[in-house]
Amino acid sequence: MKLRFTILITLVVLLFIADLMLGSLSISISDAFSETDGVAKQLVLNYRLPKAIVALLCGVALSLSGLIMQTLFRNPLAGPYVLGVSSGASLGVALFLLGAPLLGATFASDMGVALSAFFGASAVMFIVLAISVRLRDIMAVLILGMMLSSAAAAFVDVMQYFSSESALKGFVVWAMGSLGGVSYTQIGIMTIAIVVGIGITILYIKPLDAMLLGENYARTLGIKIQQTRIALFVATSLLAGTITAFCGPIAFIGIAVPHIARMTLRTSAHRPLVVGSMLIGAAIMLLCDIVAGVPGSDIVLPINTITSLVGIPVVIMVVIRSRRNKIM
Amino acid sequence: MELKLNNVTIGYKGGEALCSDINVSAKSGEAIALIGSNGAGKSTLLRSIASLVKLRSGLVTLDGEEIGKMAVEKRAQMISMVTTENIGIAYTTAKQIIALGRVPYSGWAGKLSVEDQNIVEQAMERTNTTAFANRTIDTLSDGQRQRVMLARALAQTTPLLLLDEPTAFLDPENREMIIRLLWELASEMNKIVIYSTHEVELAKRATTRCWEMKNRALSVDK
Repeated sequence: MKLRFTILITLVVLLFIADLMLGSLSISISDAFSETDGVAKQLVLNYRLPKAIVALLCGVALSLSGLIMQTLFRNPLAGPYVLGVSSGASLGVALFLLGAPLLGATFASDMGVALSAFFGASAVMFIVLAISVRLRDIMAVLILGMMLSSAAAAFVDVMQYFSSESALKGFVVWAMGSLGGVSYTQIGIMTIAIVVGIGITILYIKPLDAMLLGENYARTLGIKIQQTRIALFVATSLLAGTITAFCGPIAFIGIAVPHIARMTLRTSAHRPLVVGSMLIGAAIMLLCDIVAGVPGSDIVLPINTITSLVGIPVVIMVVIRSRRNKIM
Repeated sequence: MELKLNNVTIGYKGGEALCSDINVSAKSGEAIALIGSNGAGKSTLLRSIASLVKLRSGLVTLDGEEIGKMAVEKRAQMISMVTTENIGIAYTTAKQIIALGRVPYSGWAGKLSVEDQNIVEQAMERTNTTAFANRTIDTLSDGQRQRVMLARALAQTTPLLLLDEPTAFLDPENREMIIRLLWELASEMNKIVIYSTHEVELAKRATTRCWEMKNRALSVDK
């Protein structure tokens, strides 16, 4: 186990450095951190470094929120994107960016976008959680998430139809998902929210393990179910909500990475999985960012196309396996 | 230790009462089989004793202390339960499942002390699960899995042990083995063991007594 973690940490560090160096213009480390204030240094410090940090945070937070959701719902297909939490955030942002101007208000701040995304995410998370308590079926909860996503999307469509071009553009850019364009101040806010989310999760590692046996067993083991649910609900909203707020909806990382972590670490225990998911999530997100930048060319692909290509095969594999073995 | 049910009525919220005016008691060292047809309320009674379901009315006490009013952490050290839920957790060995029985005693991170580990080993020996302790749970047979769940409950070291249909899905040989094991556990470890079952004949041979649920009432047999 220790060896695997060492390898993972090394991998994250290497990918982080690679993410700084690779892009339309390859930059060596010595150039980036030289005394002279050249273009290369500017590019790395003002563009690639914040983007790489955001990729790292994004991978850590989304993967961890996916892991918590999968245990909380006892559903291998739970994740912020599939359960509609990201769509909820979209709806929140749409209400803010498109709805507010429709009502005559013209304020648009980054913090406003972030807060509205956070509230939207929490709202959907709450609905799914409330209904899933009654629905045990894995597929039913999944369908519920899809329906909520569609409902949110429909609502957003209607608003888009009535919106001005400038308001619309702001929303569309956000909704495409991007790791770039996040300022250092915003990175500070993201980091605080994510650290709090990680902190809560670590405090609830034991209840999470007990929850693997299901709610009844967890209760007979002395776990306070209600308190655990609420705490983890806050943690996932912080983790997934914050990322969606600043980067837009990022597809499939939250659902796929916990499975990759279980497979590489060969465990379902949360102590190794929490750490493993965060590291693997960070590595994959950095890799996705490098690939999306198509090193050596001027092309920049949307980050979501790359994360989908990574995530979808994992999801398909999980569906096939869970139908066969009825196992998480 | 004595478990007492005083004028207990059970049933789910909104539904009709399943069984009323239950007045029974059980002492340490006794194994009790709960019998009755499907839907008579056997599971609900077990869950009500474990305080997973609220009582309609009445009082369930363990040595005079009301179970429903115990702190959840304390309750977990007094009552362990084996439910009918099918447990499938990926990459998880029998031993890891059994070790979860120590959750009520371990620190916040769930790390097991040497003593905890010894208790887990003992629970495995007593249930004959040591041989497949390191196999993952999905590779085990139904009988082996049931013994793992029993070992997990034993590892919880509680004076009261409740089991919901521990013999369901088992072949006749394993059914007899489990019921005899439960009887031995009660007398050897001085526990109160209560389990629901459809194996009436077997249960009558290998228990202290039977509680029969019929026509919304509970009668004590033998």
